[in-house]
Amino acid sequence: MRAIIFLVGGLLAVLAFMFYVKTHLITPENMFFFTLEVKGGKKHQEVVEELVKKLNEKGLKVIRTLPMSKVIHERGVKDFPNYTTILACDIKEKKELLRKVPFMNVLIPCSVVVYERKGKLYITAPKEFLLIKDYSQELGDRDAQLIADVYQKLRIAIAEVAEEGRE
Amino acid sequence: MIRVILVLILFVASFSFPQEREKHPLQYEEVIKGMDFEDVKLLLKTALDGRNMNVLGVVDVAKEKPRFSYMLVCNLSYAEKIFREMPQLGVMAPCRVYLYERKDGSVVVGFINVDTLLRLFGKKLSKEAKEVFKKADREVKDAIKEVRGEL
Repeated sequence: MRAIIFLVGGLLAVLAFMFYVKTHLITPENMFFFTLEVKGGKKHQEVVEELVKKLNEKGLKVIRTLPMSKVIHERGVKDFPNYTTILACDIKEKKELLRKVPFMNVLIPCSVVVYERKGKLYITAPKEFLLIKDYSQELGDRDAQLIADVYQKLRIAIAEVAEEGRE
Repeated sequence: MIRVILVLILFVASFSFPQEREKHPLQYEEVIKGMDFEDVKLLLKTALDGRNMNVLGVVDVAKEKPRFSYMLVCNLSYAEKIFREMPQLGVMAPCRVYLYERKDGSVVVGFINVDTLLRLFGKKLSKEAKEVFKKADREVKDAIKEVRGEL
């Protein structure tokens, strides 16, 4: 009887663990997006400006900042939450990299978004992990590492802006 | 459940499939033959603009052969509907439509495969947002067809 209880208990524990992994860890959102909530009561525009400065400082050159919500508001849709896209990661190796693996254009340059949702401010960037793995043969070790390094710097820049309070 | 399985397949595929023979599920490409790279670029820009897929910029990454350029394409009305429901998808915007030249002179036009994106994230989107996504996809594909003279 005790053995059966242990067996059923173990099975339930495994199923609970699998359910947790399925619903919390292996979600498409977790696999494809890196998102942090911005702390410290910063304003949207303040975060955008800080992030642009931080990205440039880290060598992840910002190409353009697209104030999506501003343009949408100008078109008459006033209830659209603040939303800005920053196009960055304009690295000097892009020519060689994109000629070699054109589809890496979805990662280089990178788009980072700063947006409001339900009263909170978030920063989201893509995650490179799956694509680098999938294209590892074409990329080779050096270029795979190059993209991984760019995205690591990107995550650090986002974390620094999101976690730091107002100066 | 299907989304989880799809993510797992993508993950496992990364370790097991011969990549150069299999097109990645997230990748969509079309080959245009018999046209010069610059002509394809110009016609594609015009075709996209004509469909309200606004080309915010054209970036020439490699001006010498083999040439490589990409366009930053966006339709704000579509973006508004999709980002309102799933703002994270903004990291795919502006949509990059890339063009590159192959050794045989043909030009490849590519962008992210919207069908796969919808299989992954469709559960988070309303029917209306999914329709908008599909419409954007159709418009880019129709623009490519127009360049090929098929529309």
